[in-house]
Amino acid sequence: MSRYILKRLVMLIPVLIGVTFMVYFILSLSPGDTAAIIAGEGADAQTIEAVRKDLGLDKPVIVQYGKYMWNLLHGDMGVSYSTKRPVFTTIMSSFPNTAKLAFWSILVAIAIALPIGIISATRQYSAVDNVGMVAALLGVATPNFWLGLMLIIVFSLNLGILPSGGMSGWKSYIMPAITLGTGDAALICRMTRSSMLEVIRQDYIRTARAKGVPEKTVIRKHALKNALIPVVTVIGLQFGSLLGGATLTETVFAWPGVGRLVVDSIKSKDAPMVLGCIVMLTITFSVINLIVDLLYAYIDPRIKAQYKKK
Amino acid sequence: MRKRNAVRAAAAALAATMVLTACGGGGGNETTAAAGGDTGSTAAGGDAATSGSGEVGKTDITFAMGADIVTLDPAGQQDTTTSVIIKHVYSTLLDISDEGELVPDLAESYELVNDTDFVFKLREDAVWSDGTPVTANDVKFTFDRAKNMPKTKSNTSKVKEVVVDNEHQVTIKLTEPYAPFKSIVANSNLSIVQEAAVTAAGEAYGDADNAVGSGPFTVKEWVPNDHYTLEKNANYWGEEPITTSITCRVIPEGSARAIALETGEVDLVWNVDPTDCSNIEANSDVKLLSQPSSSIEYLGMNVTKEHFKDQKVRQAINYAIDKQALVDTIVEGRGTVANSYINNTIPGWTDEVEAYPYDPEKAKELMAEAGYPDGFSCQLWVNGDVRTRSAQMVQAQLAEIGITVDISTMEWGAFLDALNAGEHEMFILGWSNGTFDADGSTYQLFHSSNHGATGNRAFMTDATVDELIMKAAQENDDAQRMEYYKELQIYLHDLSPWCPFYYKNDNVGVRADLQGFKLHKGASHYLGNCHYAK
Amino acid sequence: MATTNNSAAQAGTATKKRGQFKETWRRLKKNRMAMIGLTVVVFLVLISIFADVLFDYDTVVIKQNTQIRLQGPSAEHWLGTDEFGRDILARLVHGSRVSLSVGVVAVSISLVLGGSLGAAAGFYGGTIDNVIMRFMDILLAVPSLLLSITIVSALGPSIINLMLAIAISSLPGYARIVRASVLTVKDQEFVEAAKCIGANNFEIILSHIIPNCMAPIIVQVSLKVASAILSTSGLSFLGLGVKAPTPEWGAMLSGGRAYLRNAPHLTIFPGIAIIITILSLNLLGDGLRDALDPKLKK
Repeated sequence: MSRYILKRLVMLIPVLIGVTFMVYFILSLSPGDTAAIIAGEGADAQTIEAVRKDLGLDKPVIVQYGKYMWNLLHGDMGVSYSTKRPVFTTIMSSFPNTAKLAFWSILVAIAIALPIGIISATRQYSAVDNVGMVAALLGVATPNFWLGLMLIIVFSLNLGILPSGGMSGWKSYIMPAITLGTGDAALICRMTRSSMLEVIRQDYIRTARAKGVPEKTVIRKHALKNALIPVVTVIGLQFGSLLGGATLTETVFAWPGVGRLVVDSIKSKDAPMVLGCIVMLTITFSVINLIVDLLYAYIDPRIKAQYKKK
Repeated sequence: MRKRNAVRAAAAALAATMVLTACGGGGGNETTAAAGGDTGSTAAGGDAATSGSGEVGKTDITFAMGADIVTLDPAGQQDTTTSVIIKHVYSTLLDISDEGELVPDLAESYELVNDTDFVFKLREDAVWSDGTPVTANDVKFTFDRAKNMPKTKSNTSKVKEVVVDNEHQVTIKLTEPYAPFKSIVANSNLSIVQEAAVTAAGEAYGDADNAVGSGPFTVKEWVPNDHYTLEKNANYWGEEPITTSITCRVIPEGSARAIALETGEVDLVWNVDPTDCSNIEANSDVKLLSQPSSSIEYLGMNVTKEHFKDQKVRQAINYAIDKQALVDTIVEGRGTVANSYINNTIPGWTDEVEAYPYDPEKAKELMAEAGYPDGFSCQLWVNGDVRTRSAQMVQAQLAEIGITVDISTMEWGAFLDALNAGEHEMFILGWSNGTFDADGSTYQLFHSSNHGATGNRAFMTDATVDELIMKAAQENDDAQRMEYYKELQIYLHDLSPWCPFYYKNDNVGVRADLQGFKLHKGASHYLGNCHYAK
Repeated sequence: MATTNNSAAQAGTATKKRGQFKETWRRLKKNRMAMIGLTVVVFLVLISIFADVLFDYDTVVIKQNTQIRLQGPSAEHWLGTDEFGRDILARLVHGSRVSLSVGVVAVSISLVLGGSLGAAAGFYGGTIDNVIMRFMDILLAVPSLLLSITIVSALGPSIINLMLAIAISSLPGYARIVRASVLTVKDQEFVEAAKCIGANNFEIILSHIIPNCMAPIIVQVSLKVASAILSTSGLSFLGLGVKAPTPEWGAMLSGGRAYLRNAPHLTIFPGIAIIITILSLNLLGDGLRDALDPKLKK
């Protein structure tokens, strides 16, 4: 198992190279002249050229990329084109904020989704099932900005019990985590339900029931564990996308997170900042995926056996 | 800017009140300033300020803006958001008062000794936040540095050299007579920086731990994308601010910003979105302060493109667009139909031209005269939500005179690229005049040397326009300058490279009981006197 | 369980296929919720086909009348008017064309592409698995905003490219889900059995593995249609998507954002339209899943 983990961590290197390479080229191909944006409104052609030279943007893209990677290997993420601040410190001041928010959102999502999903599956087509499903769908079809602003209007403006935004104390986590969590809850809930339904019909569950194992134990010990694989996949994926894709929620709640940072940097074509964020996100994604894959093995002995074979 | 807000209780200084008009008539431009708290503003007019009197209570103020600052280096910024903090932390040679007048700041007086040489006499008591005196060398350093920084280069392009006459006097020599220069030195990106601090920090200058200014506040901390906090500068040489600390929170979403004000989480909100104004007006806990701003919103036409070469077509479009409907719909009525190309807040604006009335019949006639009785198809390029909305109205209105408009919404980088390359036919943009001088509303936008990226995105090349702009810029007699600008506006109005839409309102929301705040005509509001009563 | 799939394992003849279809339909009909879902889906499709009959495009859908802007629901305008005084109902009806096709097409592209990649990765394992999944990791790490900007600049702004942008950015999700499902079924007896009777890999993936991972896929697909429609709103500012003034649900929703406090109907009605669509698709999806499930045969 530890060899497998090591192997996966080594695999991270080509992924990182692939990601940075792809993003670097995409950025340089996408419209919008970095030098012109940095030089600012009203700068003449000479000034723009001077800025271009200053940033090293006059060199071929492959040379720029090489230089970037060389510095990255030496632990230097460079400085932002637009703020001149070191990329690493800027990211480190926003990335943990997003990670914390994503963590609580996923918890909210799981807390809502798993019970509803399981109950729905065990009582398929009952009123509970139908209501749970409609609720879950409401969650996924409600845009984050709408829910977020509505929560602000009700809980901050009308009731005055929660701060409307910013990151200050546990109270400020409540609304953003709910906003993000409900969207993901839908998917996790539906996934749990269908996966449970699938498993419940399997022979070994029938056997367990026939043996006279209490229904609770059947669900908890036999069915749930087997039904969890696709659910864990979805949770892992959603957690990953929360890290980079919570931009709208971060905007509505003035959350100083990395989602806003990435989008702003892409808009201003601030390559070192975009790449820095992407490198951080990629590492986190990959680690999460690894954990998810390891969880498979933990949940499903058959998969564990496969890893051992290798 | 900071010395003139006369809301303080210690109003004795008001006795020394002198509103300085830097642009006095005639040739002699010598101006002097009273030391200490000078320039009292006249009593605040109804909607322009909050009241202020009595005992001072809470003096730590929180306000909200939609975006974060870019840097604390004056020369590294030119956006309105960053200039706010720069104005509180740094000082400029001259400043623009709340009423839009040029007033002394670090320079207690200046004199135009000949057509091109400005002599600035510095205040001898001015010190940096670290206690060392502000010297003529710092001024020279600032301007020399500005000439090489991308965002300040255009502001200092006319500076030939800066000569240090003595410790408290510099002569700035220009390459040619350039009247707007005295307004330009008031621009926040020409704030005077300390040579020692900048040299020590090098490339990294502009962070909370290395920025040194000579303004009424110092930077305590800056957490990017979240907030920054300013504290009273104990060594400040001007009038002591009442506010002890100012915190700015970045709240990107407009409605969330308005709600934060309504719940009392912030005391003041810069730039209230037009759609939120009515909510603030309806809530008695808060108040909306409003004034015309120096921003104009317009439809630009590329005069080098086939259909738009023809002045009649451009005029037809001006007649076909219902500007009042745009004001009512796009900014919820919170703006004024633009009659001209210069904002009505800026000296040099003329009321002698009238906005083209909404007259589709007249427009159709002009189209027929231009040889397009059945209209034509063209492209309209825009960026962002609000301007896409304006574009839809333009599209619907131009359809009435047979012009089929195809709207392309683009991402900012792509949009700028396309406009700078001159591939466009029509576009919608805004322009904010940051210098408070009419030159800032004309030279970059219409002079033939500024095609594309520098600002002339109508790609105008017109000898008369060029000549008038240059004459006005080089004329040191203000009355004569204003004449040139009037002539220029009448000419431009007829030429119609744009269809000017409206002058935007500057909307600021405040807590109803906040005292000591006053709107600045150039939207560079000073918060150093904000406080609550006991 | 190994026996349940035998009919499919020997499948291939046309009569069998028809029989299967009839059987599925028979079982679907018995599911009341699924039939409600189906009815609504058919209704939505009909609306989008006959949109022009219901509301004239030039004189109603894009006609501005700022005199009556931001009005709430009334007898004349059932769902009220938007910021330009246009009828919201008419715009929703016409918007269904774009939104439904964006949702369905974008999801189909990513399902087919992502699903096959995931299936291959899970089935073959080893190097193929590694290469495919690492590539998916790369794709997952590139922000969809950046990807979309690039797609516009490379291929030009259009509705097809909008679908492509949405599809590509959701590829890794499908790949991972299908791969996970494949991992759980590939060692089960019926797959071994198929291998024994000499079925080739492609046949096995197509006729044994894919049908057995239908459950999570159908769930993912029927939900993702919603996010596809919603994401059009975020991308319209990049120049992806429909051009103004063409109505489209996602854009209507985000366009109403500024008016949320004073004219909430601008966002609520497009929201409800999306919810109804998703709800009915999900009801139908669930019913289909049950109807297709070989283990449920009675």
